[in-house]
Amino acid sequence: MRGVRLVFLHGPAASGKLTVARELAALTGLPLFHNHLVVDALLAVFPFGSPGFVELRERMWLDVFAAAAAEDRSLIFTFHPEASVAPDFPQRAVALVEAAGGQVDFVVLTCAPEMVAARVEAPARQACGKLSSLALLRELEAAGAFDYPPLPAPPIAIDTGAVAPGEAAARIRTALALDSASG
Amino acid sequence: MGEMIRMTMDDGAEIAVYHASPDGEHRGGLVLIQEIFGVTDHIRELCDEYAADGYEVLAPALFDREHPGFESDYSGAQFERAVQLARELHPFEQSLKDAQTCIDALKGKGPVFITGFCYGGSVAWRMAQISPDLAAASAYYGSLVPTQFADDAPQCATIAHFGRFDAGIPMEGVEALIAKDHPTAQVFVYDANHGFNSDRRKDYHEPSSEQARERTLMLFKACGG
Repeated sequence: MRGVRLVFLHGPAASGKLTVARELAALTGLPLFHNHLVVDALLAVFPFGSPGFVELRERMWLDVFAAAAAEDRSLIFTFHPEASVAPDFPQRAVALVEAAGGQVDFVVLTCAPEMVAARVEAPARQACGKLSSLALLRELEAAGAFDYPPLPAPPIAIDTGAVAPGEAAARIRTALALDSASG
Repeated sequence: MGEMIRMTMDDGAEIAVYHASPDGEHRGGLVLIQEIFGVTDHIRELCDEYAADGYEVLAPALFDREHPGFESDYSGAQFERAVQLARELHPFEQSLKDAQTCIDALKGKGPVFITGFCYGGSVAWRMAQISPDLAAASAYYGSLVPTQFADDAPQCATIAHFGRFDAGIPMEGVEALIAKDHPTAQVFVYDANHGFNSDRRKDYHEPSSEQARERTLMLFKACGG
């Protein structure tokens, strides 16, 4: 028995996390608790990276993981590793879910820099309130904003430059045997 | 720059292994498996490049038991000898065991990756299927991948690179491999020939080589390296 599942989907900006996660949610019936939900809620009050933002973002993420695990609710989470998140956040997520008898499945999306460049300024990203300026992305990169300790090696990595989102989602479902996890 | 060291393998044999260490940040270990031509200056150069990218690299000289110090040209009598070593004299299973010995030597220090070229591409792919100790694998044009080892999904995230014009690895086999749709593997086909990654060979194809290397580094970094 694997118990409750937390599918922890991560990757750099514009690697297709939200798109693939939506496909995976549609395919598996698992709820999607994506990165931008909490971030957008907090940005209504706090500037990005301010102490209140940083503390509440992490607390809300972890509280949702813990409460969902306690109620046996599996979910999909998307995460963009960046320096304002506590370095041990993934490990804390794992500890919480495992304490409830569940399992965290890490999945990473990769994407060639030129593909990121082509995607990042797409109009759909602006509509989602995502980082949508290539110049800003490069500036943040250079400033170390995306420096983050390595995450655990996942069983599956998908180069989204070469695979359509639906196919990526199908691969994740198969690799993690998610068919039995929904509900 | 790395150096040749001696390592004892599982059968007690002591063989030469090229060892290259990063100067600065240590991202993980990498086992790099040779072509049939031995641990040549080209293979050693690849090791040094990965060391510069932060990986501690081990490249075992797989044919050292049968032919100590073997390094071949890409044609003529030495080429014939390389084919003989790979196909007749040196058991493929021993290459897998030697690769595992190198993995074991690196695995206490962080994630371990594997890559390989030609003969080594087959070894790298097979190790991704059978070794529980790898964080990711990148296999270049291994001829045994579509013919003998297509059926099992790799245990770790794996990418495989093939050249569309590789006469020795027909596309039908590669397409059949792709159709297996192993969720842990991604297969990339390049507009290039066999050996496209080696700038010592006539079929070197720089754009494909660079793209495959970028994908390899991206994979390793994404998988904890």
